[in-house]
Amino acid sequence: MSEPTDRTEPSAVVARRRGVSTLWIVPIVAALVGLWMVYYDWSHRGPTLRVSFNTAEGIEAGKTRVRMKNVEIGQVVDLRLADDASGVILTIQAEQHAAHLIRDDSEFWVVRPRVGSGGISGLSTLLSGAYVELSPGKSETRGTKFVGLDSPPVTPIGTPGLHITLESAGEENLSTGDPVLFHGMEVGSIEYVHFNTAERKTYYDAFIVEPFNQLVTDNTRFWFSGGIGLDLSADGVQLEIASVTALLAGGVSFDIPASVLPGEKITERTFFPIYPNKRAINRKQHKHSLKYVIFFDDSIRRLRVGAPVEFRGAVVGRILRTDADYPQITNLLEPSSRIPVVFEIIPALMGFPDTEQGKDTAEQRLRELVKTGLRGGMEFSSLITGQKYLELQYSTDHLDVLDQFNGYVVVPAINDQFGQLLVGVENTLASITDLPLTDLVQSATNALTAASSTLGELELSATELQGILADEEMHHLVGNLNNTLADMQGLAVDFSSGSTTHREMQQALQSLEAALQALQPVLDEVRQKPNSLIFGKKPKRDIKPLAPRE
Amino acid sequence: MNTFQAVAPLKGVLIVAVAFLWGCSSATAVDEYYSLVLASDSPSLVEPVAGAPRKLILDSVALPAYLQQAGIVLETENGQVAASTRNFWAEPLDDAISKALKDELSAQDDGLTVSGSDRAWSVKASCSIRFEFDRFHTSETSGTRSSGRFWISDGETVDKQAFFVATPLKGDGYEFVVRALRDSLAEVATQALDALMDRSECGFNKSSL
Repeated sequence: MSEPTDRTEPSAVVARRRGVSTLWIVPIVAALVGLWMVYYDWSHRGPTLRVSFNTAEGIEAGKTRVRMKNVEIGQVVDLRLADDASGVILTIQAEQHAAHLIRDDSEFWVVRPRVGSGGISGLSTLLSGAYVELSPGKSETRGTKFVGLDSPPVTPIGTPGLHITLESAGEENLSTGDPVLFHGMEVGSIEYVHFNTAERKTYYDAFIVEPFNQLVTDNTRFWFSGGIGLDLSADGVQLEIASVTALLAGGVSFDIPASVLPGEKITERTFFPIYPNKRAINRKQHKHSLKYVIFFDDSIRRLRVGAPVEFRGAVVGRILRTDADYPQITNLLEPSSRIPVVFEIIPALMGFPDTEQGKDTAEQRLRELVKTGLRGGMEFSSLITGQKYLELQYSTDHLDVLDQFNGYVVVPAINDQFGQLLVGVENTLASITDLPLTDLVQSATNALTAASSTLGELELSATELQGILADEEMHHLVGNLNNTLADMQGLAVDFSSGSTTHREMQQALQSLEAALQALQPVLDEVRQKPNSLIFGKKPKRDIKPLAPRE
Repeated sequence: MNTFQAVAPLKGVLIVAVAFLWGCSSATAVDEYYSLVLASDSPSLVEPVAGAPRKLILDSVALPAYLQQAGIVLETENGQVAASTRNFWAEPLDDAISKALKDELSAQDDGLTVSGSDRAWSVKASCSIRFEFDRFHTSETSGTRSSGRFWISDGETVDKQAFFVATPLKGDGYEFVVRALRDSLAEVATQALDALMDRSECGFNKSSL
């Protein structure tokens, strides 16, 4: 049996600890690390950009990289359609170290395989996939929204050089990337092409790299340099062949006109017209000209617009119009119709100043000259091409009043070259009339008398010669001569090498030689013993060869 | 006096004259003519095979002056040479040797056509051969001797080779001399063909024969 006990149970004294448990250190440290990581990420994250493109071909969110000079500077993190579905918008997370490159004027484009007139590019992306390339800007302000380029920029931003704008209303055209050439060397390229429908002109933004930009002056002229130009003008046939580079790539060339010193250098964007060819840049440009009209009765075929107007070989103007589209002309097919040709005379080419005053003075002087006989006529400039030009010349006709047509002073025409030929014949006849013909006729009569006497003697001689030739003996003689010649010819054939006679003669000679050889012993014997012919020769003993004995 | 009595003294003179002339006349000599071509039983007169694969031009056969006579030459025991006065070649000896050599060369090589230099313009042969004889005669007792040299030319290079053939006579007389000389030409032709075997540019090779 067990005994009761009075022992009391000990109790634990719970002491309340003051302060924070050390265990909290772990989550605090973890939170701090997390915060630090967030800060680190935030502090190293570059700007977030939005770039719009027409298409997202080859681009994938989370994969496509953004590069500059093949160094990765960001990544496409999001890709979505634009609100109006006109394109795509890429969200690019750039890295901090590249933030300073991203400016308002920075440019983005997608690098992918391209085949164009400038060659093949982006082949490396066939394996690695497309990527977005950045061309850094120079603007002071940063940008976050950009419009991506469809193709790589022709000239990277920041390239030193000169931007100019070229304009052309002609049929020739250039494309983006076409070269700008100086003496056949590529010094720049066409960056942008824009056609202005209102002006019906094409404008080309071109960039010329340093140091060639210093070649562009205010009197520089540009011309289309591609291809081969064949000009059949009144000046004849002219063939113009561009350099090999220009032939292959086309483009535009520039230079200053011949015999002209370089002008002031261009430092800012300037507009330049493009001339059709190099020859055109050397044509002097004059501000003032006087327009006239001339009517022709004959065909004006091959009198082309632009053909020169000349005076004694010097060019003083050019043809402006050869059509008959005037309200005054109602029926061109009337027999009496004449074809109007409008031409201009440039006062500066006549020696007058290229000013309004010079123009007025020239006009006044030309009116006087037309009244006193200045006329125009068509002339052939090239018999090969048949091109014509207008030649100013003087006649003896005078006018009291000048005619007008469609506002132009009418310069009377000297009819075609046939008419001019008639005038020349008339003048020649007049000169002949002035010759001392009586004396000439007398001298000619005397000469004819003498010639008649000589001819009579010649006739007698001819008669005698005819008699000789008609003689029968002469005929026989000629016949005998012919027969003799034929016989000689036959003889020559008979004795020619290889003929039967020749061969027979050769054989006969050989036989004769053999006979003489056979006679030689006899002759030797007679020489040694002359009486041997009578008494004979004691025959020599003919030694008989013997076979060897056994 | 009758006519017979008148001519009687002349008759005696006539008889004496005839006797004198008879006495002056020499004995009738019988000349013999020999041909090298006919001296052989070989098919020497057979025409060359048309279109034979090998063609050769026999350019010339040269003889020393002492052999250029009609009489067949004999060398005496004391080293002198004498031409027979009754045994002659039927044609010039160089022509005869040339024909005989052509026959022998063609006969020993069925595929060979040998032409003379007079036909060289019409025969497209790559090689030619030329012979020069020093000896082509007989001795009194020790048979015939044929010696000399020949040249083989392909137009660029020329090979020279000497030959010497001694042929014993099979009987006495010039008939056997001619046969022996013909046999010696057969041996010379054999030596020439052997030399041609070494000239592949002439179209020959060891298996040609």
